[in-house]
Amino acid sequence: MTTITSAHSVPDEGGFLLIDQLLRGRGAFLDGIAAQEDLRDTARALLLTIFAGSAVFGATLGFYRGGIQILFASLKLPLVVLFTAALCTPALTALRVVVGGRARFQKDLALVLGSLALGCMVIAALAPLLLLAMSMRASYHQIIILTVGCCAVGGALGLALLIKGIWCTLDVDRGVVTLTLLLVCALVGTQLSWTLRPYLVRPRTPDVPLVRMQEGSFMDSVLTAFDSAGGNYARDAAPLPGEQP
Amino acid sequence: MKLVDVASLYALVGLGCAVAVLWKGGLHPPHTLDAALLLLFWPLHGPFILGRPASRKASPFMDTGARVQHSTLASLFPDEKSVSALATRLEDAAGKVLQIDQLLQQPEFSEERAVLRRQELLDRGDARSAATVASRLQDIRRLSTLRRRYARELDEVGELLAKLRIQAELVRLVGEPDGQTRELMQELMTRVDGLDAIMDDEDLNPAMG
Repeated sequence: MTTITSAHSVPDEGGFLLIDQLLRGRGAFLDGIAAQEDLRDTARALLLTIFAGSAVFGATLGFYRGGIQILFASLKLPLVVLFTAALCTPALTALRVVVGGRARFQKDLALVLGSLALGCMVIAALAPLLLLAMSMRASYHQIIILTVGCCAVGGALGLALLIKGIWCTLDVDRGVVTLTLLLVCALVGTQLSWTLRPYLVRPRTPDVPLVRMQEGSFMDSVLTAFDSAGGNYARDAAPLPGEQP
Repeated sequence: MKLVDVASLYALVGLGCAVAVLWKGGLHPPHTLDAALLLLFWPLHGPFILGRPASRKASPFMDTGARVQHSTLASLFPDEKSVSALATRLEDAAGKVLQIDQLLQQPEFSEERAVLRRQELLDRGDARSAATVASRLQDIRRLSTLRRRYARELDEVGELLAKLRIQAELVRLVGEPDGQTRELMQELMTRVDGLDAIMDDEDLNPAMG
C-alpha cells in the first residue's frame, strides 16, 4: 500500500506517543480524541496503561504483607479502576445528553480512560515512595496515609484532565455535569474499592483473603469508625495472627 | 445473585465478545490483543471494537477507497488511515467553500456594495474612509479568490476520483494496472496534498477567523 508522507498524513501512532501526550501535551491528547473517528488503538493503549500502572501500585501495596498479597493487590487495583470507569462513563454520556449535548459514548469513554491512565501512571511513579516507607519500617497507619496521599496526587491530575475534557466539549451546565459525575465516580469508586479490599492487609489479620467478607457498605464502615472513635467498639480487639477472628 | 454468579455472567459475556472478534478477524496480533482485552474488560473495550466508529458521512474519497480495496489497485492506494486523513482534508475544503459562500452572502461582504460605497466616499471627498473601504474590498476579493481556488481544486479532485473509479473497474476486468493508472493515482494524491497550500493562504486571512 502507498503511504502518504506529507505533513498531514497520519503516522502509525504507538502507545508510547499516547503516553507522552498524556504526560506532556494533554491538550493534544484531547484534540486527538475529538478528531479521531476510530479510537480502537487509543483504547487499547489506554487500557494497557491503566492496567500496568495500577498493577504496579497494587503490587507495591501488596509488598507490605508480602507473599500472595502482592499478586492479589496487583490484580484487584486495576479491577477497581477499570470497573469504576465502566460504571461511570454511561453517566457522563447521559448527563451530556440531559443538558442538551450530543451523545458521544466512545469519546467520553476515551476521555475517562485517558484521565485514569494519567492518574495510574502518576501513582505508579509514586510507588517507590511507598517502598521506601516500607523499608524504613513505617507503621500500617503511616503507610495508609502515604497511600492516600499518592492516590490523591494521581487522582487530582487525572481529575484535572477529565474536567478539562468535559469543559472543552460542553457549552452549557458544565459545572452541573462535572459535579454530578464526580459524585457518581466517588460513590462507585469507594464502594468498589471497599468491596475488593484488602490491599495492604492489617498486621493483625491472620490470613490473607482475596476479598474480605461482605460487611455492609463503605458508608456503614464510616459509621462504625465513628462509633469506634467514640469508644463504642464492636469487638474487644482485632485478632492476632494464629487467632480465630 | 451472589458475587460468583455475577462474575460468571461477566466472564461469559466477555468470552462471547472475544470469540466474536477472533471469529471476525482471525488470530492476528491486533485481534488477539483485542480478544484478550474484551475477555477481561468488555464493558470498556467493547464499545470501541464492537460498536461502529463515530459516524461520518460517506465521502467520495472513502467510497473510491472502498471500491479499489479488493482490486489490484489496492497496492497503489494509500492505507486506511491515510485515506481517512485525505478524506478529512477534502471535507474540510468543501466546508471552507460553504463557509465562504455564507460569508459572501452577508451585506458587508458584498463586493458590489463595497465598490459603490468607496465611490460614494470618494465623491464626498472622504479619502480616509474610502481607503478603509478599499481595504475591505481587497479582503472580499481575496475571499472570492480563495473560494474559486477551493471549488476548482475540489472539482478537479472529484473528476479524478470518478476517473479512478472507472479505472478500477477496468483493471478488475482487464488485469494489472498500467502506468496511466499509477500516474492518475499520483496526480490525485498531489491534488489532495495541494489543498493544504490553499488552506495555508486562508489561515493568514483574518476574515475567516
